[in-house]
Parts: sequence; C-alpha cells; structure tokens
Amino acid sequence: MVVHSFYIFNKSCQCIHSQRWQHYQQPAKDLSEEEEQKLIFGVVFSLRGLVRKIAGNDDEHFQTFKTSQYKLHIHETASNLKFILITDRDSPNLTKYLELIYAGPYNSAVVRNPLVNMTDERVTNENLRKGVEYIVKSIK
Amino acid sequence: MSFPIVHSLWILNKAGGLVYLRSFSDQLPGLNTNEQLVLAGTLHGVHAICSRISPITTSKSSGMQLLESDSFDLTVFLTRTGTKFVLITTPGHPASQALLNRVYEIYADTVMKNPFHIPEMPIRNEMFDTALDGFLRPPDFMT
Repeated sequence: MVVHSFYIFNKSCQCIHSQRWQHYQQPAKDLSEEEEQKLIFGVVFSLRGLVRKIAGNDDEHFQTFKTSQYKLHIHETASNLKFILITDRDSPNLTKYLELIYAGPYNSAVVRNPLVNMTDERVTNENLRKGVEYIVKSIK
Repeated sequence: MSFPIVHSLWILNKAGGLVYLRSFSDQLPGLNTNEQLVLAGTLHGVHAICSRISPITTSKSSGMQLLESDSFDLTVFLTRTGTKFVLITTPGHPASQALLNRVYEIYADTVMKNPFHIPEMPIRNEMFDTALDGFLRPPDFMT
C-alpha cells in the first residue's frame, strides 16, 4: 500500500497542514501546490453537496472516492475540519486512521497547545508532523 | 450488509447534460427535475477535476470511478465517446461495475441502433426501459 499525501483543511477552506511522501522520481506537476490544494478542496466540497442531495439528508458524508490512479479518503469533524488522505487505488477504507490522527496528534499538538492560533494560520508544529508520520507508517 | 439494490441509473451526455434518469427503488428521496440537472452537471465537473489532482504524474488518471458514502455507493462508467453511465446502489454493492457494462451493452443494442434517436438528446425508448427493468429492478419481495 502506498500513501501519497495528507491534508487538513479548516472551515474557511484553507489548507492548514499538508504532508507528502515521494516514493519514486516522477516529473513535476503542471500545477502549483496551492492550486492543487484548492482543487482538492473544491472536489471534496462539491461531492459533499452532491451526496447530501442524493441521500436527502444533511448529515450524509462520503468516505472515499477512487479513480484509476488513486483513492482519496476523508474524515470530517463536527467543527468542519477536513482530514484528507490520498493513497493508491487498491487500499481499503482508511477513514478510521484519519479519526485516529484527529483524536491523537491533532488533539494533543494543536487543540491543547495554547500557542497555536486557531483562526486561519497554517499549523507548523513538528509534533503534529511526527504524529501523522507515525500513524501513517502504522497502516498496513 | 443489506441486500444489494440498485437505487437509480443516470446517463450523462458528453456535455454533462442528463439524458436519462430512472429510479428502481424508493429508498432514496426523489429529486425534482431541476435538482437532477444540477447534480448531473456537478458530477460532470467533479469527474473531470478528479483526474487533475492525481498524485502520479507519469501516467494520466481517469476521472472518478467509485464514490463511497454513508448510505449509498455511486459508480461511474465513462465510455470512449464521453457518455457517462452512473449507477447509485446500496453501499458495498459487489457487481456495480459489471451491471454498468451490461447497461452499456443494452444501450448499444436498443438506443444506438434506433434510427430515430438523436445523439446527445434525452433517451425515450420503451425497449431500453423494459430491458433495464428486467435486471436492475429488485424483486418485489425484497423492497
């Protein structure tokens, strides 16, 4: 199983944390990191509206979607934070691990950290980075 | 897991317009025509953007193929000509992709071979309807 990248988006559509894992050499992308984050948020946001309409229920969430190349997993918290993991297409549903990241590293390194400004800043916290790394490595 | 049921089938033309919609169960709420068209358009756009955010740059990614949600799965099958077949099923349906391939076969046999059908326009074809009923509608005792 291959994990490509991990993102956290806050409720005002900003990417507050991202991590990438490069597994092999490949040509650079034709869009910048910031543009890519905007596209990812856009896709997730639109799909969220779509599944709510189809299910006719405002609490409906989608967990994963996949294409021929990758699979995107999402866990959305009650405070509208979005935890997103992108892996290879054959991996099982990993939303449980995203919940773990929220309950573990995010909670202890960001929520309980009085120095973090929760409004709109990027989280540059080494402990969060290490915690995510640890949980992602534990995925079998 | 519940008994696998097909909730509905959508067919989108290559411009993202909804040309066919059929419901096979009443477990999901019905949508009015306007909502249906808007959702089809959204799906068309998202499907295209999905291939842009692929983490792998050595080969091109397809659009979205399967969306897993709390109460349903949405499977998309894109044909060579850009027509999209979308199937909404119960979560974890084991054969949604195979069903879509069969729907495509029936579509080719009934809709495309009909000399009065105008490509990219809404599909009104009784043969297509009855053929789909035959294998997508769940048996009465199951619903």
